[in-house]
Amino acid sequence: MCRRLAALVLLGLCVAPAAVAQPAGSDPRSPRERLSLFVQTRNAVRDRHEAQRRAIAADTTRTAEARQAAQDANRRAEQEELLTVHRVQGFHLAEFIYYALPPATLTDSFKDFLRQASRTRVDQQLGSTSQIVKTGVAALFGFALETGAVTQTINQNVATVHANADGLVRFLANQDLFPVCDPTAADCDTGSPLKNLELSASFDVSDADAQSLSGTTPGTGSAINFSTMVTQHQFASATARYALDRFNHRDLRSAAYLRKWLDWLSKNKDQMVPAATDLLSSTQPVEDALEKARATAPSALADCNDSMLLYDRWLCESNAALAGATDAEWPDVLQKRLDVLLAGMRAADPTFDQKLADAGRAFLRYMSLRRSLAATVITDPSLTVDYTYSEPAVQPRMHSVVIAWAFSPKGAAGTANTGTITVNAGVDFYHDPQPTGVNLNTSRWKDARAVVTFDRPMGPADSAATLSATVYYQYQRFPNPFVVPSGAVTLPGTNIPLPAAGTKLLSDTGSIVVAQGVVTIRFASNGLKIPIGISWANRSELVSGNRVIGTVGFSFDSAPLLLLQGNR
Amino acid sequence: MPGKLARGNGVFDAVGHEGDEPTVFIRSDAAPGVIVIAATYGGAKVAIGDNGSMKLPPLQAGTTNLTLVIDGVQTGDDIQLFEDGFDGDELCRGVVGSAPGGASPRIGFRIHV
Repeated sequence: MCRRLAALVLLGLCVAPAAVAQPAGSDPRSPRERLSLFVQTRNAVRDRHEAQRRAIAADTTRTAEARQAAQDANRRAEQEELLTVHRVQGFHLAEFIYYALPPATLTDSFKDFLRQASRTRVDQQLGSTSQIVKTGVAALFGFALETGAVTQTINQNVATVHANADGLVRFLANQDLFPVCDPTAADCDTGSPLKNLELSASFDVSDADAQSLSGTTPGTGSAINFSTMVTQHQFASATARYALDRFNHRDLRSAAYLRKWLDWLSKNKDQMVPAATDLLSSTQPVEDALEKARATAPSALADCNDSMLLYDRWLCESNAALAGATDAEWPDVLQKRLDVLLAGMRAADPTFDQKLADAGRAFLRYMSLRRSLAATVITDPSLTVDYTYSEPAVQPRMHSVVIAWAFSPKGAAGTANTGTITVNAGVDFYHDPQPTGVNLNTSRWKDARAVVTFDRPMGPADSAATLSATVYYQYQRFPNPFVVPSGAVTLPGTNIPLPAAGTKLLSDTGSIVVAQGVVTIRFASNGLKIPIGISWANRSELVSGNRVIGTVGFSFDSAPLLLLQGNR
Repeated sequence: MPGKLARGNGVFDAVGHEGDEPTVFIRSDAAPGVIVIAATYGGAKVAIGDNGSMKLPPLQAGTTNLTLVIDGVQTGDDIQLFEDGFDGDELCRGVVGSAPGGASPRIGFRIHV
C-alpha cells in the first residue's frame, strides 16, 4: 500500500510541473556570479603561473641561480598579467558584458544552446519496456506509453513516468533548472548530487490479450495448461537510476588532445568564420563606445585627474584600487569599479545596454556553435546504475540491478560520430526464494542479462529520426515460476481440472535472445518522441517458441519546454 | 632592424606611422596551437594568411582597434602580439579571458598613430 501511495505521489509530482511552465523571475545571479568570469580569468592566470613555478622548481637542468631568476621573472609576469584582468576594452570584453548584461538575455541564449544540444541526444530512456537501459537522465520529468517488452509473456501497455530528484526540488523551490554561472565558482549552484538521480514508476494501463500458458507443478512435475486474460491495471515497477561520474577527456593541455583539436579546428574553421565575423561586428558598437571614452593622444595613466576621459580615468583609478587590494578584497573592489564604469557608460550612451545585449547574444551564438561543433568530436562516456523493483503480472515480485555504460566510438579524425553504443549488464533476483524445479530446492536467483544497442540519428546529429539496433541475451538457470491467475480457464478441447488460483507453476527452462530494431521520430521543439519498432525473441519468459511483436508508443521529455525563453 | 610598429606606453598596445602597412601575428607560450579565425581593423575585415599572419591596411591617424577571434586557447593563456619579419620583442601581451562556456574567443589591440 505504502509503495503504491509513493508511486502515486511521484506521479503527481511529475505531472504537476507539466501544467505550468514558470516564468523567469528577477536576476538569479548574485554579484559574485556576475563577477564569475573575471574571477575565473584571474584564477586561470594564477594556476598557469603556479604550474610554471612547479615546472621551474623541478627543472634540474638549470642551476639554482637560473631557477631563482626564472621564478622571479615568472612572478613579475604573473603580477603584470593579474593587473590586466580588469581591462575590459581589448581582452576582457566578454567578462564585462557578462557582468553588465540584463540576465534574461544571457539565460535565454544559453537555453537556446541547450535546446539545440537536446535535439542531438540519443541516450535518453523512453519507457520501461525497452530491452536496453540507457544512460541519459531526465532534467525534470518525462512520460512514456509503450507496448510491452518482447520478453514479457503477458503483454500490456505500460505507462512510465520519470522524474529527476534535484529537478523536482529546484522546480518546486522556483529555482532555475539550467542556471548560467561559472560551474567552478563556489556560489554557482548547478545542482546537488541528486541531479544525477532519476526516479521512475511504471504502470500497466491496458488489458492483455488472451494468453495460453503451460507449466508444471513444483515437486510433482504435473503439466498444467490454461488460458487467461490479465485485466488488472496495476503498478508494474519502480526504478532508481544514478548517473556515476561522467568521464572527462577534455584536457586541452595534453598533446594528444592538442593534435585532435588542431585537426578539428582546421576542418571546422570555415564553418566558424561567419559566426566569428558576426561576433566581431556585434561587439564593435561596445568597443566603439568604450573607445569614445578614451584619449586619442598618448598620455600616461600614472596621475588620475578630472581632465581624463571617462574610460581612461576609470582605468587609472581601477589600476590603483586593484593593485592595492588583497585577494579577499579583489572581487568587491572590482565590483565597485565595474559599477562606476557601467553608470558612466550608461549616462554617456543611452543605447549602451542594447549594445551590451547585442554583443552578449553574439558571444553566446559563437560559443554555442563552437561547442556544438566540438561536441561532434568529443562525446563523453557515461555510466549509470539502475535499481528496479517490479511486480510482473502472474510472476513473483523481483529486484533488478543494471549497470549501463554508453560511449561514442571514434569517427574519422575531425569528423562527427553521432552514434552511441550502450552496453548493459544486469541481474534479476526474486524478492522471496522460489522453487527451482529440482527437488524442493529454492533460490532467489532469476537470471543474468547482457544487452548491446547502437543508436544514431538518421542524418545529421539533430535530424528528426534516430535508428536503434539492439541485441539482448538473458541467461536463465532455473525455470520461471508463475501463478495461476483468477479467471484462468482450461484450453479448448481439454478438460483437465485447473488448480486453484494462486497455485505456483514452473515454466520451461531456456535462455532468451532478442533482436530489436526501432526508429524513433522526435519532435525537438516539444520533447515528444514516437518509437516504432519490431522485435524478435526466441521465447518469452514463460512460453517457449519464436515470438515477433511490433512496438509503438510515445514519450515526452520536459527539457525542451523548460528551455523555451522566459521559462525556468 | 626596427619594424613599422613600436611598443605602446600602457595606453596603447602598439604605436605606428600613418600609411604604413605592417604585418602582425600572435603567439602564445601557453597555447602554441592558437589560431586566428577572423580579424578586423577599425571594423574592416583583415585577411588571415595560412601561417596566421595579418597584413593590416594602411594605418589610420588616431587610435584604431585590431580585433581578433581566436581559438585553441584556454582562459588565462598569454597572447603576445608581434610584427612579422622583424626580430623585435613582443609589442604587447594580454591574457585570454572567460566567456560563458569557455575561453573568450575575442581579443583586441589598440594601435595608435
